[in-house]
Amino acid sequence: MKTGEHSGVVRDTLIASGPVTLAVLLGVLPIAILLVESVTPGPSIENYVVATTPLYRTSLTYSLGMGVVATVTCLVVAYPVTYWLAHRCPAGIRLPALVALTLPLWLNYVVLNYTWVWILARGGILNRLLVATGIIGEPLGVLFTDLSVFIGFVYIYLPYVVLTLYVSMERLDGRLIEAARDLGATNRRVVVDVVFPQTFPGAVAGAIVVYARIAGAYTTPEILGGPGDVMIATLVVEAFEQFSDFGLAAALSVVFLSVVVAGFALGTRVPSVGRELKRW
Amino acid sequence: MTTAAALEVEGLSKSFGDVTAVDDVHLRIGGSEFLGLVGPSGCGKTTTLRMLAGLERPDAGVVRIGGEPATELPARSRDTNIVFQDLVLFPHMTVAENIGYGLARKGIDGDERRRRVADALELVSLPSHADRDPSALSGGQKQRVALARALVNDPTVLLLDEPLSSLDRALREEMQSELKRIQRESETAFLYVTHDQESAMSMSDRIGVMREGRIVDVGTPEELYGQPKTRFVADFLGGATTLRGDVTAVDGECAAVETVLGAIDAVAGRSDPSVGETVTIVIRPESITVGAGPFAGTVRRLAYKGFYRQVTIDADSGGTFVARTATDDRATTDRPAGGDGVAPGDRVRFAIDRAIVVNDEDG
Repeated sequence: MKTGEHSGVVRDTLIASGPVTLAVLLGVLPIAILLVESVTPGPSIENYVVATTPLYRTSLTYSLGMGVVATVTCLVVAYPVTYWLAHRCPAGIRLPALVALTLPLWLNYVVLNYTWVWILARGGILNRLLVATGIIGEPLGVLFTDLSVFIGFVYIYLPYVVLTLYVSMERLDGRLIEAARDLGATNRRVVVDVVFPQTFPGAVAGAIVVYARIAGAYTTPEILGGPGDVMIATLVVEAFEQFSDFGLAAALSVVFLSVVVAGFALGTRVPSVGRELKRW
Repeated sequence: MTTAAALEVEGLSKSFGDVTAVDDVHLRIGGSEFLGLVGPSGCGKTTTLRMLAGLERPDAGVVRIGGEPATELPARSRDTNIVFQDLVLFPHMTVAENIGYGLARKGIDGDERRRRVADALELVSLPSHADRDPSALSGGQKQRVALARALVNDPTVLLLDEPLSSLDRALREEMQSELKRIQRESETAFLYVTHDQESAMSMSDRIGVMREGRIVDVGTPEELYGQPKTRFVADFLGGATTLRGDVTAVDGECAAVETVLGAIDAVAGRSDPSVGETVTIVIRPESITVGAGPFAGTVRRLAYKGFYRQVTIDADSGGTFVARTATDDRATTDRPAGGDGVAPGDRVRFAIDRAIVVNDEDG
């Protein structure tokens, strides 16, 4: 009996050791190295002083702001689309539609970005179409602006949000909607009282997946962005490649990570959000 | 029976593709009447209910609720509320929030809403459960909350879609009497849809029997059970043995019918038979006495049903009869005996105490 218990403990430990090792190797260790790097040479907080100067602060604010706007836009687009897919669309076209929507996930990221250069350029198809139909007289200078970066982000990250939200939307019981209607809910109340609360986990999951990646993105602002506002990843790369200042690059990354994590931590303090998260 | 009609339905029809789900349904429910709508699965009773709730658009027909035309009204504007088969309580709301939801949509706020929610919880005997999550409730408690959530809005008609079907037998019987009590106390018209004829008969003031999209008969449970108009209704409500025969004489309420067993006196019922006509008669299992009587046969099968046994007898002159006999507690298990000590293969005599003339199939 005693040896049985003992071997049980050993077995549990062995089983647990795999995931724990992976978590340490992939999660804890890189962050630890990042932290150490960010205070060298020294230890000193010199890198953090530089990382919080106005140049970097502005870029950080812009990156996080872009993350919020693009993520919210993805959610706003994904909600009606996934609702239709899960509850309104004929069964025969559900799978083709889902595949079509998530197709960009399988394509090369750089190609996807350059597609928008082709579409949005002064001589691109959008401008040519608009000029040809007489809607505008002069081609629009959309490319290499905040707007083109924003469009690129929404396009590239929408499939992730659609997929995560679709899972929640599919689980949403259509009879809850009927029950709400029966009790006097208008369309707007159905969305607020039933659809949102029931699909909240999917929306949060989607936001978690894409938000930090948008705010920390490098390629899209490089390809579609202009000379004006610079996103934080560009500055991290610059610190690495042009100044070979690994410490500053690490400190910038730590600051970015901290702000993102703090943002999510703050979000979970909102009672309704916390209650929903506990349901997971 | 009752005062003004809570619900009137005329010519209600609905097809899904080529399938006619509901076919020219007419129905009238009194102001505080409990009407059971029964029928086998797929007979269109749930579709009918959903059309009355406004969750499904009828292809044709008129619905009036409390005398007001309601055919075109969406679900949210109708003075009906529905209790779904699977209850569908809002999982992210407390019991009180669930119950108060309809009131909130009507703009009833603050103290009045709290008071009415408390009253509703009192009515369904759950006064202390207001702040619970629906997931923390038992099956029976969820039933009560779903009922309260619908009733608190004081609908003209409460529509119930087999809400008791997921409960075990004991709980179901308890909830049946609760439903009946709540219906009396709330003085609301109930339309209760079920395939369970037993629960419908025990609760309803009147029963409508549906078959293939049509209502084939409406009446009190006593009428429909004691004098079914059609063979289908007789079969569906309680089961019965059927025999074909020729009417040889009609005397008021009584008709003499010549069958393979010989002459049987049958209740004319509501089928209005005439002499010379070939009719169907039905015989309820409890109307057959096993042990003595003018007819002879062989016991084919015995089925133990708890407080009674079902005896299937092949009559010598033709026909198979199903009878019920009281269970004899003293019977030992080494011989699967019926109440009268019969076993499969035994020769028995039996009597028919009551037979009813019905229309063949639906009429």
